[in-house]
Amino acid sequence: MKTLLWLQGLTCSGNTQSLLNAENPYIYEIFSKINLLYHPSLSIDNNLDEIIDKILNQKISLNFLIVEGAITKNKNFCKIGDYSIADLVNKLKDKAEYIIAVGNCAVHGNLPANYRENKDVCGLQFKFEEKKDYYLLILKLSLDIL
Amino acid sequence: MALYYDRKIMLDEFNRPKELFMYLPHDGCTRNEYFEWKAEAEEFGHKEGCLFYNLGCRGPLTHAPCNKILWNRISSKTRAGMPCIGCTEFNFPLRENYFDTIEKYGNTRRSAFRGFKKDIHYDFWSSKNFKKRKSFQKIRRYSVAMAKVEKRILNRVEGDIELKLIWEKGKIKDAFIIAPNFRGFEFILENKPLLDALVITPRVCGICGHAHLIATTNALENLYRENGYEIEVSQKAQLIRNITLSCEIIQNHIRWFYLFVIPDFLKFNTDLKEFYPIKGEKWRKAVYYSSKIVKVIAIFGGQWPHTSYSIPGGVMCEPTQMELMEAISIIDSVLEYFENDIIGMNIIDYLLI
Repeated sequence: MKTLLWLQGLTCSGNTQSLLNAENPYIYEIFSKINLLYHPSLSIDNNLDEIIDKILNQKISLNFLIVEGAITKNKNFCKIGDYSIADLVNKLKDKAEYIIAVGNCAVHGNLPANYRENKDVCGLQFKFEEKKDYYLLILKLSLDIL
Repeated sequence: MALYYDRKIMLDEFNRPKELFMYLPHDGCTRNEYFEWKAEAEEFGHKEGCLFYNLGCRGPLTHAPCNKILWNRISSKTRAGMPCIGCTEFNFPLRENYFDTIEKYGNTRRSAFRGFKKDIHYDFWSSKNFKKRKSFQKIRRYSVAMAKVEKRILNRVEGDIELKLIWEKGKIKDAFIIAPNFRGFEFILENKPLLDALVITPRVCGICGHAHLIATTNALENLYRENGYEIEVSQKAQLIRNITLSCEIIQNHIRWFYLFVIPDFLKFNTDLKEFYPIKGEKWRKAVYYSSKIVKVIAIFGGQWPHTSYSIPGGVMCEPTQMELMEAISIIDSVLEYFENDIIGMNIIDYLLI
């Protein structure tokens, strides 16, 4: 069974809501075929740390890493457990078979990147139109649902 | 899902799937003929006329399949009557004046309220004043001394939240919910043209974005009135706003209970199998009906979340009889679900309790 991990950076959760609204396939049809390792809104357990350890130790393989929301290194603006979202993406990027950025925030940075006080907000591969490969050398696929 | 079946996906220069982003919202737009003949729409709220020339539509300049693959097969922004704002393009947050075509920049809308620049919360958040505040110092003191973080990650909505408990002699003295994600919407809005708030503020939240839109509309209407403009909202517009807002509230309630609250109870009671995320029958039904009710917003506003169809003075849509019938039938079916699955009785009896 293929596996999927969903991470949220600076986001409005809009893409998660769009996923819940998906029709043909419905969300429960998607995740009866794909094993959902962790999703911030849908998982019962808060065991993100454990899952990341397992992936890094190659106990479970990660097929799809989905990133929703803009990326920042600054922990004052976005923090998941002890890490910033950029740390998590950097850790997992070599382990995932496909990395999918969903939504304009994850692709281009969108409105969070417009905030002047925190300059390092960006998408996975772009900040607006500049391509800088911030976090990924080869982004395998970026998809915009909204 | 295509990747799941090991299909190949073609990508464009932005690494987006080509089969989705080769189209423009202009392709398949029902107002195409008006574009050809330059039949311009002068104001919002009409089914006829092209929105490109006066009202800032970016349909011919944006890459997205909005009018090829309609939002959940229901509608799109331009079909509902709202101009495309180019929200899939990289330059979306860099632009200003979403509801004006470029030649029309600098009109009264932009210059009317020059004095109204700064958000009132600005002083509160700016570093010096904020640090002086006692409550802030109190929080800092707590977090430095004897703070014991009980739970690092509390999942569910909009990024992960921390719970911090202050322990004293084996008892909890104080508790803090810490939301460590900050996007700075208050600051992004500064110095923007007034009507751009209608596009930016709903993007604060993907779950209750519509409530943000209605609140912004009301605030802007008040602002216009205080500055001597006469704004009358028609009864039709007011009704449509109320209907769509209520539909989002219904969606919020169903998802809040079944998706965000119940999963935490499953740890204590393993008998509630039908509530399990993804597998449980009741969970699936809740997702189905909570998705169905927001289609009403899509009928009036083009899509959900993040539509900006409500503006000071009214709404941008002009629903037909058929669209109204569709909305009524959706509401009826969700009402039936509410009667059978949630309250277990007739709605009239329930309201009489």
